[in-house]
Amino acid sequence: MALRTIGAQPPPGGDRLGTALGDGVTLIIVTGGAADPRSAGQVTETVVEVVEGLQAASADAATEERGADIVLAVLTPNPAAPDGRAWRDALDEAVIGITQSLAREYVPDILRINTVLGAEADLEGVSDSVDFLSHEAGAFTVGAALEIRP
Amino acid sequence: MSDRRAIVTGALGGIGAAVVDNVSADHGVITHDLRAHHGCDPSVRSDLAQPAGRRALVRTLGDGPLDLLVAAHGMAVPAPLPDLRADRVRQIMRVNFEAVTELVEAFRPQLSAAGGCAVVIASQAGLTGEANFAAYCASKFALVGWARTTAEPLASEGIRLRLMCPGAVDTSMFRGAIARWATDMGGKPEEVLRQRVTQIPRGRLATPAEIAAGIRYLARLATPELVVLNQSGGETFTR
Repeated sequence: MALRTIGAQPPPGGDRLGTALGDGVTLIIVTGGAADPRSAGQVTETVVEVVEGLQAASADAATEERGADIVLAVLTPNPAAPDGRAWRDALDEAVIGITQSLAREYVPDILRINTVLGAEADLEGVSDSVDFLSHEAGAFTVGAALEIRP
Repeated sequence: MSDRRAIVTGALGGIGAAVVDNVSADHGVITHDLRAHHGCDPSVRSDLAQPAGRRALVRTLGDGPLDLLVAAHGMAVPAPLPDLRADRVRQIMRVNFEAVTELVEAFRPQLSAAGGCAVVIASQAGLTGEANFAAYCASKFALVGWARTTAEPLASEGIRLRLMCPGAVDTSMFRGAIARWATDMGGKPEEVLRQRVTQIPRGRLATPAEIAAGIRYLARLATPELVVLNQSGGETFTR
């Protein structure tokens, strides 16, 4: 498994995400404070890291035969910040905006990105989504695992 | 001059200038821009990407009520994924997203005192992605997500939040982005523009005056809920 983590180490049990991953797929996990911003500035910093992560993963993983295959999982910590809903919604939308833009920029032969918006407390649901997205969904699909939010 | 007060950021840009023209008849308008050009000086000239620049604008208004805040500033720089530099992503997010959310927050007491309205210029690119504009899309999608959650607490304070999501508008910012993209691709700007316009069912770019009229409409709506107006010439519906 090729794994990149933004924000923190994968949560306990996070290794199960790797076992769900398809062969040759890079998993980028956004966790901890990076997935639970408390200000507009923190949303920006996570967006910057996501872009850098996608750049690095696409460069590392791309081959002439199959291009690059990436699953991006944004895992909201539990408990999330009670007053941070607006910033988490902003971050979720920003991630979708990036992947929608890239979906129109690249053909799936070159770059495939699938996205999971989920919660650390629901690793089973996230794992199911990673499994589906990396094996069956094709490219540029956004899957929302069960959300646990106040 | 009217005792109703409005602030327009990006006031020397295409949409901002049209908004100033549109609302000046019944508002005393404080104009803000980073630039001064065409012989025009904004009331406040500062860089909204910087905290000091935002504070300069907030200081100008003081404590009095604010009837209308129109956040019309913004920047767009096209780049494919491999060429997106972190400092450029950060700059686009600070200008297009952070500055808007922080201005609305900073003017919250004054808007509440007036039962005022905050109109945020998002974009069609905040509703559906556009190739080679990943950072711009991130900033505009982020505005949409923030607005969806923020509108209700603002409404409880008597503040109406609106999102304007224009499609392609004939502004210097849009034409600059087209020219830059054409240069990067080794093409001609007029050809890139022609191809871009073919994607719009209406068959032409929107004018800044049309968008300003939409903003005025949004500002006059009394409903407290979030209202989103997507003036795209039909483009968003065909994606």
